[in-house]
Amino acid sequence: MKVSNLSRREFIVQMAISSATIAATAMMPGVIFAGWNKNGQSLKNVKWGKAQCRFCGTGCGLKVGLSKGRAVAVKGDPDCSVNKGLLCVKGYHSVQTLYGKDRFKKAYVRKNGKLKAVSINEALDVVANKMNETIKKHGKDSVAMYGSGQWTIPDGYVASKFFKGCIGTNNLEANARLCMASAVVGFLTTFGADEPMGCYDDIDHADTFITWGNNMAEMHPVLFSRMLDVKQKKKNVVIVDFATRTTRTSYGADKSIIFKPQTDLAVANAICYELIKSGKVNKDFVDKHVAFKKGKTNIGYGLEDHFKFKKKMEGISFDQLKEFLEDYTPEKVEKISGVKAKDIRYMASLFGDPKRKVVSFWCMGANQHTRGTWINNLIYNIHLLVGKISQPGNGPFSLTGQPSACGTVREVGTLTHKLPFGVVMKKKAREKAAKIWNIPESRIDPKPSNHTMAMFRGLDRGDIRFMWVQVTNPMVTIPNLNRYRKGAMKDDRFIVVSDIYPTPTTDIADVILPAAMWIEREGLFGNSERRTQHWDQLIDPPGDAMSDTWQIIEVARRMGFKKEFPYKEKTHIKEIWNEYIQFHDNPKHRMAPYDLLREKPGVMWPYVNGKSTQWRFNSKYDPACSKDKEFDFYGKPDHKAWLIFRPYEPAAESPSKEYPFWLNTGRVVEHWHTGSMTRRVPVLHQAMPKAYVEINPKDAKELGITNGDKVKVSSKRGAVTFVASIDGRGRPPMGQVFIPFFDESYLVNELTLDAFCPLSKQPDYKKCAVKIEKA
Amino acid sequence: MPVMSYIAYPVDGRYQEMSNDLASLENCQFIPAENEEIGIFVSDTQSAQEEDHLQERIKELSSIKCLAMTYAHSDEE
Repeated sequence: MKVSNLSRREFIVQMAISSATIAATAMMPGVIFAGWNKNGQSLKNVKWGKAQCRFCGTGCGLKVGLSKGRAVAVKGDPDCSVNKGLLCVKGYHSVQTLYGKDRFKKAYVRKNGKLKAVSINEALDVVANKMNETIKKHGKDSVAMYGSGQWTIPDGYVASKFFKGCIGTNNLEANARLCMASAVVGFLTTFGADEPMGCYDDIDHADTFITWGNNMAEMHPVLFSRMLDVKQKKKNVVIVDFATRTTRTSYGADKSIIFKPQTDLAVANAICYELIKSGKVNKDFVDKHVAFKKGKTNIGYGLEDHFKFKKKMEGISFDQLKEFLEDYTPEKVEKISGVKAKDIRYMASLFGDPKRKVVSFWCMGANQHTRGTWINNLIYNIHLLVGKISQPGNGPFSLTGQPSACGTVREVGTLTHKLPFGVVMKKKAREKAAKIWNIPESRIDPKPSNHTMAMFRGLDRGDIRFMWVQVTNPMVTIPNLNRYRKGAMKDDRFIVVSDIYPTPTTDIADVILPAAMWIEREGLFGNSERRTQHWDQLIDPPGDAMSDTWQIIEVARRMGFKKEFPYKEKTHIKEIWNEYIQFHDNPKHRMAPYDLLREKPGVMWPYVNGKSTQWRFNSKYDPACSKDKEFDFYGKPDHKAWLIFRPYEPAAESPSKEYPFWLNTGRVVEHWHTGSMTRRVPVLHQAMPKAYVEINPKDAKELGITNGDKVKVSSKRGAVTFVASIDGRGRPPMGQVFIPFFDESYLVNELTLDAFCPLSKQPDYKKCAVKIEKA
Repeated sequence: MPVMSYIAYPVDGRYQEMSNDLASLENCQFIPAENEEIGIFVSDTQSAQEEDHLQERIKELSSIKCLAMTYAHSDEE
C-alpha cells in the first residue's frame, strides 16, 4: 500500500487492534470496544467519508478514511443509530476487501475456450449482441438476469426496468430469494405489507429476546452486542436462544433450548396452545385487530421441475383454532421436537407475561425452511395472540441477511413476480410502471416466469440460454450444485458475470465484466429496519471496472433502449432515485428525498411530513394508520392482521439408515457469504482459513473421528471431504452436523437438497440427510 | 519498530487498576471493553530496545493476570 510512512504505521496499528478485536469477540461473543473509534480520529492526513457496511443486513454506518485516493481506515459512525459507532470484524476490515491482488481490472471474453482480456466496450458489445441474438432465436424468456441483495437500489431498479419494461421478460431474480423470500411471503400473508413493523430501537425498549434458529452473535454481531448491552444495563433481561445447535449465541443467552430440525413449527404452535390454555391471550387486541385463517396443508417440497402451487386461504373462528391446537400440547410436542414441555411453557410464560416486552429475532433458520412462510406466520401468531407487536420493545423482527435485500430486492422488486410497486399480475401495477417508465403497458408480461430455482432448472433444461449474474456467486450457493453447474456449462448456454474477483461462477463465464465495488461508485442500500442509506463515490474503481448500474444501462442502450435510459453518467444515481421514488409516493411507503439521504446516515420509510416512521401499524407513530384506532393493519383489506393456522409437517428429506445425520449449513462471523471478498483479507482468512464439519463429540467418538481428521460427508447428491471440528465454534446435537459455506474449495452445496417452501420458493439449506465417515 | 496487540485480562477485582496501569505506558494504547472486564492493549515502540524495556515494565504490573498476544509486526524483519 503506497501511503506515507506515518499513515502506514497508523494503519498497522489499526490492523493490530482489529486482530485483537477478532480474538476477543471469538472468546466473548458480543464484547464491545467502542473506544476504538476514538483512535481513528487520530489518523493524520486522512479525510473521512460516509458509507454503509456492504456486508450483512444490519446496515451499520461507517466512516471510511481516505488518503491519496485510497480507502485506508474504517470506523463506526457514532451518528448512525443502527450501530452507534460499533462495528463487527467484517466491518472493520471492509476497506481491505477492495485491494485484493487478483481484482478484475479488465473485461474478459471467452474465445476458443479461453478467457481473453478485452476492452470494457468490446465486452459490453458482446453481451448486448448475444442477448439480442438469443432473444431472436429462442424468444424473450430465453434470457435471464440473476442479481443480489448486495445490489445497490439503482442496480436493481435499472435491471427491473431493462428486463421487465424493455425486454418484456420476468426472468429477473436475485439471490435474496435464497435468504428472504419466506420472510416476504410471511409478511404478506399475515399483514399484507412487507418488511418489519418495528426497528432496532426495539432492542433498547425490550427486556425479553427470543432468537429463533438465529445465531445473531455471528450473523448480526452488532445487534447482538446491543442486546448484551441492554442486558448489562437493565435488570430482568432474558435472552432465549431457540436453535438446532449450540452456537456463540447460546453462550451469550440466558437459556439455550435445542429443537430437532423442522419442529420449530410444532413448538410455535405449542406456545400458542399454552398461551390460550393459560388465559394469556390479549382478548381486547385480538378482538379488534386479528382475523383467523387457515391455509392449505400437505403442500409438497418443490423438488420436481415445473412444480406448481396455488395458495388458498379460508376464514376460521378462534374456537376452530383452539381445536386445531389440541394436537400441539407441550407434552405431545416434546415427543416431536425434543424440547421439554416445561421449556415450551417457559417460553410461553415469557410471551404471556404482561409486564414483559418481547422481541423475536430470526433470519435464515426460519427462512431457509421448506415451511419457511409457515414458521414466519407462526411467530407472528404468538405475538398477535398476546398483542405484543408494533410497539416500542414489542415485536417480531425478521432480520435480513444482505445489505440491500430489503432496499433493492423487496422494495424495488427484483423478483419474477414483482414490479417496483405491486406485482406484474395486477393491471394497475403494470400501468403505473408503464407510466413512470414511459413504455407501453403491453410490454410488461403479466405472468411471472421463473423464480430462482426454476431459473437454474430452466438453464439446465435449455429453456434459458443466456444468464447475466451480478454481485453473487451461484456456483457456490445454489443447492444441489452438481446438477446446476453442469447445466450452466452445457453447450449453447451463455453466462455473463459481473464481479470484482475470480470465483467458481466467473470460472464458468463466457464474459466477465469488472465491477466497481461499493464506495468506488455512488449507491444506496436499504437495511432490515426500512432504513435507506446513501453513500457518495469515495474512490475511483480500478482499471476498466464499472458499476453494475452503468453496465446495465450501457447494455440496454446498445440494445436500442436509449430513450428508456436517458440518464447522465455524472448524475444518474440521483436521476434514478428521483424516478424510482415515484413508485412509492404514498404515506405507507414514501421514501426520503435524495438530498436528505446524502446528508443523513440513513432515513427510515415511510418518510412522511419530514419524519421517519419507527413503528408501523401503530397510529401513535405511523401516519398511514386510521387515527380512530390504536392499531391499523392496513395492508389487509379488513385492516386486521391474519393469524394463520399452520401445522407441523416433516422436512423434505430426513435422516435414514443409509444417511443417518442431519446436515445444517450456514455462515461464520469472519466471512461474508462465499468468502470471495473476506477470504482475501489476511486477518480474516487466518482467523477462519477453511471450511470444516462440526460433529457432536459423542458421534465423533463412536465413529473414531478426532479433531482435525478428514471426514467424508455424503448425501444422495454428492460427497465432499472436510476437516472435523469437535467442540470448536459450535456444537451440534447428536445426529446432526454443521458445515459453513464460505469456502469455495469445499462446496457444501454439492450435498444440499433443492427443496423449497412452496409459497416463497426459498430453498432449505438447513435440512437434508448425509452420512459421515473417516476419510 | 514493533507493533503488538494483546487481549488484557485483569487479576480478579483489579480491572480498573489494570486499565490505569496499561493506559499510562508510553507509546501504548489501552482500549477497554464496554461490557466485559477485558481490554485491548497495543504497543507501538520505536525499537527492539524500547520494546524490551516495555516488556520489563509490563512484567512488573501485578494487576495483569494475562496478556494474550493477537498480532505482532516489526519493520526490522
